[in-house]
Amino acid sequence: MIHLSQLSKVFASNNGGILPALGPLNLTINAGEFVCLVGPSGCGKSTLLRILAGLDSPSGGSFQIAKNADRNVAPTLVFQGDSTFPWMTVFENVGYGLRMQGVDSKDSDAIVEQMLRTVGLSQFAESYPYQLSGGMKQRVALARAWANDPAILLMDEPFGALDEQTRLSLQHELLHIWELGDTLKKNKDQAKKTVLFVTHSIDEALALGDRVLVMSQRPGLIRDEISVPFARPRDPIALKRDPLYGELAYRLWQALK
Amino acid sequence: MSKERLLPFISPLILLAIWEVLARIGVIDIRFFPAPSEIFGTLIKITQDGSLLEATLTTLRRMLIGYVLAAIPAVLLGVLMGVNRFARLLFAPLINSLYPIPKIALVPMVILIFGISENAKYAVVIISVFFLVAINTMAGVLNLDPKYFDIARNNGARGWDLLWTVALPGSLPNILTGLNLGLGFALTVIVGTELLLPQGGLGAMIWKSYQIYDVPTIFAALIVVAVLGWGINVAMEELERQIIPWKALPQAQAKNLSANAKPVAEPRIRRFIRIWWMAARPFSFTASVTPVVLGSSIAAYDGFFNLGLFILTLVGSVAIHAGTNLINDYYDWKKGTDTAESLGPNRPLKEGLITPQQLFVAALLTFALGSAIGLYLVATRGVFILIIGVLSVLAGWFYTAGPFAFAYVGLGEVVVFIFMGPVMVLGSYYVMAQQWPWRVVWLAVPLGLIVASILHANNMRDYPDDLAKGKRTLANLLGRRASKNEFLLLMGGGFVVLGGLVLLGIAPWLTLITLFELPNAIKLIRLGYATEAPQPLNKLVRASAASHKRFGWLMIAGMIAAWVVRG
Repeated sequence: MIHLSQLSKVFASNNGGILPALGPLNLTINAGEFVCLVGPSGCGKSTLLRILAGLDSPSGGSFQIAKNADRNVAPTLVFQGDSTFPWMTVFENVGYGLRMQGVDSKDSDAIVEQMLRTVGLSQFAESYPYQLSGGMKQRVALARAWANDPAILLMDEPFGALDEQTRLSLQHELLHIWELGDTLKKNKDQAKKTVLFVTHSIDEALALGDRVLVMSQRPGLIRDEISVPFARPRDPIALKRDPLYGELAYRLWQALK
Repeated sequence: MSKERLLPFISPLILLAIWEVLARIGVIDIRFFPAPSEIFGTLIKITQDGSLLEATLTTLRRMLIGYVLAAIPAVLLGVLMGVNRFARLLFAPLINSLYPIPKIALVPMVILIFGISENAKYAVVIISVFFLVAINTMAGVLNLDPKYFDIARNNGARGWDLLWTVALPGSLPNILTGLNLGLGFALTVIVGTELLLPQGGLGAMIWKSYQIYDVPTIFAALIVVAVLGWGINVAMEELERQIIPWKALPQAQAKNLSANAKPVAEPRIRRFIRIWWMAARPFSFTASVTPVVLGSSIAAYDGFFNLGLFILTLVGSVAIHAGTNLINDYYDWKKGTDTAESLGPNRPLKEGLITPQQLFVAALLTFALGSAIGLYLVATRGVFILIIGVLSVLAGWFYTAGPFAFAYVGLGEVVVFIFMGPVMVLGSYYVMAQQWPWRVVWLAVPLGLIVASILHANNMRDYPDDLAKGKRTLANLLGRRASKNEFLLLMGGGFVVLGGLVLLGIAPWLTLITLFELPNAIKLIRLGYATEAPQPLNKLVRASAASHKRFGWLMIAGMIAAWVVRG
């Protein structure tokens, strides 16, 4: 669960004044919801995610965010572009969060192996990132985020730099992992993770989200909100022939104008 | 060899041939350019009479001692300036203004300060290398994409984690480039210094040959200097390849741009080293390396340092430790197959990179190496080594085996304290110094206390399990409350004892550099008091081990610094 009230962020501008970057925002995202956030570049999307991930602090207002109760992990942020550590193998990359949180190496090895199987990288466990393609590196980043088992996942245009085909297959994979729910741990029946996914692609937002929020130019405000009623599990490609898809895409383009 | 690989040799050979012919027919003046065959003959002659080897070793020794003394603090300062803005603003102007001074121009000042001595030569090398390495290291840390720190923080990394898992490995390529440049520069500068202060070494050989117009010897010495420079470069590049396996080889990167990439084959030697490195579990080596290096540094401080014996002791004890790890994993594996349980902790074995038979043979080979070195030391350095060796083996054996297994009757901490502390330190001290003063035992106590605290943290974590299994550890014999006090006693005791030793004049005051670790130790003691849950206590075990490592190396750094300062 994420709850923002009057959350805002301002930066100091070059001439000594202040530059409002974000908000004030009021927003509630329920547990288990997959929410996409679209908006023009520079509207403060990334700033919002950094604040929620604990890497930045808001200038005003407040927010509440659910945490993994066992380990007190902050919401995990999947960063834009390549976010693997070049000096660690795929295995070490995926296990990094667990190691930093002091998880026993036996437990963490098992989790990492399971995650690598899920994203299909088992045979690359000992490879270094330079030996992987862009799509594979993004899978490593996904596996690392999921291995942390955070209550909330924040994703900052994770597939932005990939080619269209790789991007589609990773969307597919992300939906698959997300729909599996929490199969890694004892609570087989635990609900799906809450995801806040920032993207600049309307197609991506419609393919993934339960809800799409549209943000305005700086300072970012939530201008519109569209719920996406497609059934799950979803197939991001089959969706595109649904007449409703065209209708929703049109509405989003209008809202972004 | 393919044609292309031969090509680079052709132009120098042709040049030499032309030179030889021109010298023989008298076109060039052989007083200045003696024929290559004559230079080669001189090279053979001064190799046989030993003068060349002596000069080369002298130069190398000066270069390496100066280099190490400069490079280690330079890397530390460079990293500090990279991660800490305050330190950067404080030191950077100083370093930036001193860096451009041609170091050879400082020789007269150095002579005024140190006189015409070996220290003067070290000093010139130190000044030359220090700034170069410090600047490159700082740049390496600063150039690291700040994104990596964000990722690490978001994944739960704090404080030292950021240094060890991001700042250091991330800037390692640049640090190594700086170290490589520094070593090349050290050679240049020491040869130059030897020209000005001609007491031994290749530079002196060149200068003295010039004074008696012995031109062939000048050329011979120049060849050796060139070969040394080339060898240093090759060795450093190979070292870089081996310790930075994540650095993309250009052709490998190009090959892997396609989406359906397969893992590239890594060089065979690197693969071999990586697999066996992993199999030997080198992260556990600190426990044996630290006491050996500490014992040796105390011996050095007392004026008994011997590089050969140091390397032998170090290699020997690491070999024994690696052998122990390998054989334990082998027996774990055997037990595992008997009970059809999961395999042991040995990753390469588990992943099928090595077979159990290979593991067993490797264990025997490393044991053989360790024992051979051990026996050699007993033969040359006395029977005291044998006594220490036998006691250590017995302690290791009865640690978990036999009716009175130390670990099962609450004596684990005591045994670990004695053997990973005073015994190992004293043993490696004795190898060099041939005596065992009580002072050395005292100097080993802080390290022993802290190494015991790792085991104690382990027992605090396993408290309920051990209780259920009937394994009596000091932790569950004392009870939760008192076991926390014991952790304070061990971890904090290390610092208190060291402080006392400094006050009594037993430890040099420079060892107080270990106080850098004190805030971290206090944090750990607090954590020990705050929690009884297994998860944070597991973190305590890891953090205590890391703390022991840092304490050990800081103490060693202090001893070495004291040795150097004393001269």
